[in-house]
Amino acid sequence: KDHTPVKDSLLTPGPKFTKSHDQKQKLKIVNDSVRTKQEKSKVVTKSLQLPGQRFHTAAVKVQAVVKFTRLERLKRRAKWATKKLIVFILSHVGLTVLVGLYAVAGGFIFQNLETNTTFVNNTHNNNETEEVLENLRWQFVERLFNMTYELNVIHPDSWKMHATSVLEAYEKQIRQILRNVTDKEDGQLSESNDWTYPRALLYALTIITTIGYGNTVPLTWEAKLVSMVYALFGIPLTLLCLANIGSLLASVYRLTWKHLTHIWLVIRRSPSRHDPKIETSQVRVPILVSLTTMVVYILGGAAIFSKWENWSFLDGSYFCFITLSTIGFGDFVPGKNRDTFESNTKRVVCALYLLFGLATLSMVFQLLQDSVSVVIGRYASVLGLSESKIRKDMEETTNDGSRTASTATKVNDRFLATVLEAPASAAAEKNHQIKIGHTIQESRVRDAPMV
Amino acid sequence: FTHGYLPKNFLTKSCRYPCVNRTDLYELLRKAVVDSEIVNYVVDNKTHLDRWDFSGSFGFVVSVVTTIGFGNMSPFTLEGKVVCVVYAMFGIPLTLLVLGGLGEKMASCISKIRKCKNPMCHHTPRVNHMLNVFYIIILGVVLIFVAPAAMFTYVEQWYFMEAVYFCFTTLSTIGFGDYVIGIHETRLTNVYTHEFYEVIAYVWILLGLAYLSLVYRYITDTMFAKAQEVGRSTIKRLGSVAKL
Repeated sequence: KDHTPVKDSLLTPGPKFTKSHDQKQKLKIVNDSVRTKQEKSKVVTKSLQLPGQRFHTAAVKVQAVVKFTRLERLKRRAKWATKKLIVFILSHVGLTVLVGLYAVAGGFIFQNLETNTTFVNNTHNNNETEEVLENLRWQFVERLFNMTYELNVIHPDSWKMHATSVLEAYEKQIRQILRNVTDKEDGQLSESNDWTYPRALLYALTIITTIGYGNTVPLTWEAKLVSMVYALFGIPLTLLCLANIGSLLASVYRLTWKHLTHIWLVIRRSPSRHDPKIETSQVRVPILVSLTTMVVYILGGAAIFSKWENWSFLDGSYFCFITLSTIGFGDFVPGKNRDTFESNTKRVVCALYLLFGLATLSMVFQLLQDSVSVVIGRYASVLGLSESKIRKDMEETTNDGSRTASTATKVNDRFLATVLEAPASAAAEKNHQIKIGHTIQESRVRDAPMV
Repeated sequence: FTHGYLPKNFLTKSCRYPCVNRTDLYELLRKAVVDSEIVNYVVDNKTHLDRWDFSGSFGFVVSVVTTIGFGNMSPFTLEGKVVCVVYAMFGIPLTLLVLGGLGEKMASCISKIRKCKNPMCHHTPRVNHMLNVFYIIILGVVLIFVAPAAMFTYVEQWYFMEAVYFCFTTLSTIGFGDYVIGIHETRLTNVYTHEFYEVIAYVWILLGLAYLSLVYRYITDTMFAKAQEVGRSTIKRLGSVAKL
């Protein structure tokens, strides 16, 4: 098969030439024809080889191709794996780490901003109290001496009686002083005192999750400005992260639910066994189950905090609900206004509870989204308000040619379309989480798993 | 007060105040302990005694349902807390529905207004989109931050920056509660104008939230589109590097 079609057409069936002459002729023809260099080289190599040689080179080439594809496949697989890993890190873990770092950095920033103003107040209070105590001490030492001097003859019982009354008076004064000091600490001044790191961390978290307790507020202008800027960038970042985590948790939850239902059916030996190979994303967790998860989380937190803070259980659940819905009144906040180790741990635990609770809430929202839209769709179709039916009606009316009916159905269609789409959009407006989660899922489907 | 010696002394000390009813005094003292601002009103003989009148309660309800949660007023009794929780459970999704719809309406109005003004301009969709965003941001900053801040500066006698800070923390639904409208003495001495002002303020909160939801959605949409683009391009680049 040395002859290519072009060559055949060029070569007229003329007299036979010698080999070399034949080759020369072929080369000439090849050079004359309008062809790419590649083809020319191919033709040249092909034409210059003996049949045996050609087979050998072909075999070598095939071997090389096979090796090349195997190596290429391995390389490609490795690259795909690393790509997936990088994207995964950037989307789930990386985002969470970013938000965590943002909160930690925020804690440091606010701690540094606020401690300067309150340091002076603290020392002032301490010095005052010290002075008062010292004066009081000297006063009562004098009194004790005078009492002993006046007794003249010291009998143990009488001396003890008089000394007790003097010391009781001293005690009363001390109690009064302590009450004043503790009152000051519980008042407005102490709210801004002691910006320890846990307090600043909780403050930063309440900003970026938009809870905003209000028990600690920025007092200086710099702190207020910094808070505003911090919130401006922190809130969208946190919402993004929470939506991400929520979608991840939702898929994990769906998977476990799928397996649980499968196991339950297997145990009951029910004839209608669900196919375990259903797509995880199509599993629908019932509304009650997702709501129960949220309720369990709230009650669990209520149990912990009510025990620690000596609130009633109802007060604790009220606190958990108000916190997790990001309302955040601030009438109940864990960690009293002391700088003890206990209250600091309480604040840190509150911060962690907050973060996990919001992630759980996001997950529950995403799980509810599928179920709620299905339920509403079912009710709408029962009532005859489904979109398809409306469209059918509209088509019928337009075919009939009555304008008023068609416009009416058009209006109905638009209104009901917004209502039917409402669950998705409402949840999207809440913390803009679901929309983000949707886009994440869509993007995942479209195989662009970034963010 | 728990020991009761203070009111007892007050009432029985040489029968100085025989006409004061004991239960009334206890009620007053309890309210004073709960809401220390009332002491000022009692002493200065003002009429605005109970913070839980209609406008105050309306403000509280708005703060619950929009998840702002100022905290200057919060339910004290057990029944109040239970009702608050139930109210929030139903009210928050409902509000989100309404605010979302409002935001969409506002966006369509804005784009319609822009179209009417420039009928001859032929913009590409991208430029159109960017102009839309620009208008929305400018309108947002002016209407939602500057104008209300000016109003609060005049009425509540705050500094302008304090009013801006209040607007920001309220509209981002953080809601610290260190600055609250309508409870302190304001420049509006007439009761009716005061109530009208409070109603206007809460309506502003709702509209501002609808607007902000719109802005957020624009920002996240553009961010997402860009992120997807960046993601795809980086993956392509990684792929080409792998091929090399």
